[in-house]
Parts: sequence; structure tokens; C-alpha cells
Amino acid sequence: MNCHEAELRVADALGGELSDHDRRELDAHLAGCDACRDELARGEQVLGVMRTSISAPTINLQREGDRLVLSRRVHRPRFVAAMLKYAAVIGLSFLGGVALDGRMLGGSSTPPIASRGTPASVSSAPARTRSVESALVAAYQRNPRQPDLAKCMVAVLGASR
Amino acid sequence: MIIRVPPADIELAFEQYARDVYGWAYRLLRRHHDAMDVVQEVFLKWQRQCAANPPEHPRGWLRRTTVNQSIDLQRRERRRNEVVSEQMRAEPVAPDSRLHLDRAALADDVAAAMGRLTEPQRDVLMAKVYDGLTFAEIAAEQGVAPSTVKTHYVRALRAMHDQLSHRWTGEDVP
Repeated sequence: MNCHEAELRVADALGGELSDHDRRELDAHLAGCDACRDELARGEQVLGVMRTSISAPTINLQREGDRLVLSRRVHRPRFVAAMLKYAAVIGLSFLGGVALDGRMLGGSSTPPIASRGTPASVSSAPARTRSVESALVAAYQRNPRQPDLAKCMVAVLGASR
Repeated sequence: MIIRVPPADIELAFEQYARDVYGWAYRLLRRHHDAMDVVQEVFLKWQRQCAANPPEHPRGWLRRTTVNQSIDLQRRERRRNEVVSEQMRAEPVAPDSRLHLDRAALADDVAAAMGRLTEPQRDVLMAKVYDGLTFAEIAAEQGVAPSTVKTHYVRALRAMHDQLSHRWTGEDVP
């Protein structure tokens, strides 16, 4: 391989398109050619600077009536996101509570486990309630940054007894 | 900042390429509002170009026009800010803002160095580094042989290295 051929392989290497076969040939050439070795090193240096110097922010393209509008991505205010999260937790907790309530009081169309008459299942609902409650308390203790979920679930379960 | 574009004839191109044009311009200019100005200018040029002679390779045409427009804008800004920059250099810089200034200066240097490349070299470098195209894709877009693209690429990087020589002071590579 001469230096002219090596220049094309150096381009492949700098462009991330060098095959294994070509890499072996280029390595053999570079071992004996300072000029091509420097060419590769200089190119890597420039590419490093170009790639780290800047990245473009994300922008939005939206349709507004008969116009297209290009704008910087708008971040939803944190408190709005927090309120939505809080509302979702309450909603889920309420639904969970209603479901448990229905099963414990026999309000659902499915007969409660206790009504099947097996002695072991008679006390299963309160045990399950306590189990969920203690699991929530344990979860709260493990992760005190999410107290709302635990409080809501405990309140719902307490009201259902 | 919001840019509004007229509907109909350039809408499709805008929808497809506006984010790319913004990204190319932002990488060179580092300022959101300047990049938005370039987007506006580029699509106005696109509209005129399409009326006269629609480009065969829209993406390549838009990239090339964006880069040229960005470099023109940067040159104008540089001339306008020369006096202000001198004053800023004389003022002490807080440690926290030094990193930001360094990155801004680096981006300016890269853009200025790109401005001194030949147009084919600049095209290839932008397409390869900032657009992630393969040599074959660039060759197809420009209607030249892949070997020509590779030669432009290597020579562009060599020229950039020379232009950025003050950045390598004290480092191993010559």
C-alpha cells in the first residue's frame, strides 16, 4: 500500500467505515509511515473537538391552523407535572381501594373467597388487608420520598374495614 | 422564539428538514436565535430556488446553504462584536463562566475554521460529522466518486487541524 492508497483508508478509519481487512493493511502501512500516522492522529484530534464542542438542542415543529411553527421545546413546569402525578396516585389508590372493598364486603359479582366455606379462607380478607397495609408501611419506610401513595392506600384500606 | 412560514409550497420541505437545518445552524452558531434566523433565510432561499430550478438533492442543497448562511452570519457577527469582545477579554472572568466561555470560543473556532475550507471540503465534513452519512451516501448526493469524497474528507480535517493549531499547543500530535 502506498501513501495515496493509505489516504483513502485513513479516511475510512476517520469516518468509521474501515473493514477489518483494510485495517490490517493500514496498520501495516502506518507502522512504517510517520506521515500517514500523523494524518490519522490529526484527523482524530479534529473530530474529537468537533464532536465535543457542541450538540444542538431539541426543537418542536407544530401545526397551528394553517401554519407550521418551529419552536424550542417547552418544558412543562415542575409543579404541573407534580400535580398530575399526585392526581394519578390518588386515582389509582381510590380504584385499588374500591376493588379491595368490593372483594372484602362481597360487593362484587364474584363470590368472596370466604363464602366458599373453606375454613382457611374465612380470615383471608383481613389478613390480606393487614398484609397490604404492612407492605405499604414497609415500602414507605424504604422510600420515604413517596409518602402520598402509602398514606392514601392506608387511608382507603382503613376506611374499608 | 417562533418562526412562522408561509403554507403550501415550502411546507413539505419545512416539515421534513426544518429540524435538521436548525441543528446544522446551531452547531455552527451556538445561539438559538441566530440558528432560527438561518432557518428562516434558508427556507426563503429554498422557495426561490424551487421556483427557478428545484435542487436534485434537497437535503444536500439545504445543508450546503445552511452552512454557508451560518458562516456568513458568523462573520458578520464577529466583525460587529470585535470591539465588545476586546472589552470582555479585559474584564476578569468568574471561574463558573470560564467553561462556558471556553466551549463558546471552541465552537467559534471550529465554525471559523470550517469557513476557511473549500466548499466541497466543507460539504463533505458537515455531511459526515454532523449528518452521519456514509461516504457512499455523500458521493451519491454530490454526484462524485466515493474516493473523491474521502479525499475531501481527509484534506478538510488536515486543513481544520492547521486552522485550529493554537488549540493543540503543548500536545503530542504535530
